Amino acid sequence: MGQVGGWLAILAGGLVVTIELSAATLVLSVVISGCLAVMSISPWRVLRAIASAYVDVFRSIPILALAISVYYGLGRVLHQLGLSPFDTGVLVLTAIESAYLAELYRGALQAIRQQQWDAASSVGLRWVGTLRSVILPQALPPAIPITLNMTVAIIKDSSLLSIIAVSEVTLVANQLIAETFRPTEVYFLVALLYLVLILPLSQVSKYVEKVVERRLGIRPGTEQDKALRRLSIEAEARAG
Amino acid sequence: MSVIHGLLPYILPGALVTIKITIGAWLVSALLGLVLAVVRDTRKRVITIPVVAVIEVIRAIPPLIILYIIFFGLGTFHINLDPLTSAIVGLGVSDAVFTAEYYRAGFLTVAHAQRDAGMSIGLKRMQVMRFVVVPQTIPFIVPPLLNSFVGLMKYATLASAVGAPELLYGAQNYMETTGRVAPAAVAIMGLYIVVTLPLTRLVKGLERRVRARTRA
Amino acid sequence: MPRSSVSMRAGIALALLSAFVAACSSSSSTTSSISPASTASSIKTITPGVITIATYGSDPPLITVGPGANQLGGLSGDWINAFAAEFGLKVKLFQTTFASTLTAVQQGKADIGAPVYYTSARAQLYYYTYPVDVESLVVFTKSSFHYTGPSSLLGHKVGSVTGYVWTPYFQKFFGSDLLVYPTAKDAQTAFVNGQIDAYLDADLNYFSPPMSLSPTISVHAVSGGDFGVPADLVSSQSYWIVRCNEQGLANALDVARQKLVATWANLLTSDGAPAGYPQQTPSLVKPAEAC
Repeated sequence: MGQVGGWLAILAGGLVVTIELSAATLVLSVVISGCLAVMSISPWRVLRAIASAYVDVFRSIPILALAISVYYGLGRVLHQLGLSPFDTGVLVLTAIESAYLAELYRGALQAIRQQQWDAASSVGLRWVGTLRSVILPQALPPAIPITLNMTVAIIKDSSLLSIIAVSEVTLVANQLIAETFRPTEVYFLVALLYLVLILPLSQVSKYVEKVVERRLGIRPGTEQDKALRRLSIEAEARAG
Repeated sequence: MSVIHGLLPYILPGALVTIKITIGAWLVSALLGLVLAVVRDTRKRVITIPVVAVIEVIRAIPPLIILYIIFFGLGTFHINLDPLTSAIVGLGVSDAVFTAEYYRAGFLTVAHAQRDAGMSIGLKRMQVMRFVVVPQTIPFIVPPLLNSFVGLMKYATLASAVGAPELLYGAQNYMETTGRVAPAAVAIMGLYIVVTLPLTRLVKGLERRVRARTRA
Repeated sequence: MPRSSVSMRAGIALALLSAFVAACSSSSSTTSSISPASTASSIKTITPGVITIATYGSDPPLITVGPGANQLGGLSGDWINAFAAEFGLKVKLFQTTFASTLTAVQQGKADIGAPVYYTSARAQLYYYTYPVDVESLVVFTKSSFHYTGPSSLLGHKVGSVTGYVWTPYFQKFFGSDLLVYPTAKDAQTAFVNGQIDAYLDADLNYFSPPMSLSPTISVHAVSGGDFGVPADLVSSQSYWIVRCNEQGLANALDVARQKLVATWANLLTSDGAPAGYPQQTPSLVKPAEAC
């Protein structure tokens, strides 16, 4: 069993990189997606067009295809900019995941009924003011489980960056298998590590979802509940 | 253009395999998801707890790892599925846990009152499922199932990691043989955008129509 | 063994055909009517009548994959195609990453694995054939890089391939500065792009794309102990591998190789080896088999 312990220690090193990769991608994605979502409901057509184009393009491209194209196609440029495979991986993953997250944030913003906007404008608030004081605070609670579910999606998709030499846990596992010739055991250990990382997150996400529902006074089975449930499922399925 | 001529022998066969993987995995996901959702719908905790556990575990494992486990892991027991089958099974199983959630959300839209009505006229739970719940769920299911199809088309690229000769694999072959990245990169990303975008728009349109129906 | 007398008959009849096939490095499909049925049936493969080879990409002139789906060329291809012709087998390729070729053979996804080096750990699982070629570990850097020995690479990004025999030593020596790629071509592309400062692999890679004998690339020799690599792994031969219980297959491959001895030296040239390419005529001796 000491052998398994040794393997776990090696894989744990890769898991650290997985966590760093996912954290960096998450932070960047939240910022970018927030901006994109606001842009897509803004009254200015140019902003809506830009957001729409970004989301349309990056939600259509598979992560592996973009990663390989960027890393090997733009290799010289990346080198001149001093970007390592890790940096490239974060950029590629962020570009694509932020597109999905932006759509989900937009759904959360649009779920806030028109009445709120009308009421705010009747009080004299302009668009930006309404957004800041009325809409965003209401969109924040549902955004939390969405973001948590997206974190899970990001952690899972980070495994794809093993293809461009990012030493996250999947790559470390492949190297370990080449040395030990034991794919089943190693891949099960890797699955275990992902479980340890992700299961707590999804449980927290479910709990937060319930808290949010209670605070917003949503009863299960109602349309709002269905909308919220759909949003959070889609968050994890990177769909919608 | 000669570039396109050079690309086609790599891209065309790859596109065909991608389509095969997408359809195969989608069928696995749609059917397995339904089974999971129906089984999970029961009130018997003895059944729901293990099923939920399995669903949660699969949902927490990256599809790439599931693919590796099916392709290399089963190989240790001398169950050697070829890359294409491994991809279809692996991606299908990986997606089925999400499809199951979509079905569940759909079941919930069928009000309890309907189910109780069904039970009260003597239908057993399975029959209520078959004749009352599932038929009414279908319009709600179509957009997410279509979504899952589009998603699987993108995740089909993972199959290249276990040697299935799909689109990305073909593109990589081209890059390795000719040393040029740009034509293959543009081709594969362009193809994906051109195919995926209209489908995603279609899904959004369908979703809007379904939502309008619920409001009524 | 009864097979050897039959194969001698077939071999004499087919020697010319084999040499012709090998020299042309042509496609793998064969006419099974040429070989007697008894030789074909003595070769047990996972798919009857088909020899499945796990490959990890092209490295001309040693081995080339494609352009057809099941075409193997180069020096290794010459050997395999001669073998396939002699024993009435069709060639099927399972093209994947380097590390996966080893697993593929181990699990029975392929009959033969593309040439790899010998280690005692690998010998526990695989039976080796005669050697294919001889290679030495070298350091590739850009000519502008001032390489003075292994320590001059510390702190720089260095690349190699997942599954290579040296990779565990490199990982200890370089730590997180070592980038491992799925295939040699990926690593070489990154090196040529400048994304890694040095690439560690066999000397023969210098002759093929993407490095292609470029004058901007310098090749530095490696001695035993450099990077922690033991002396017996600095210069290695590569061999085809089969599963331990498939020794008959390996011996059949050796039989085919034996028949190419006369023409072997010329094959490299006809496979397009550039001037200055080291001759690949290792003595036909098998390594210490452990199974």
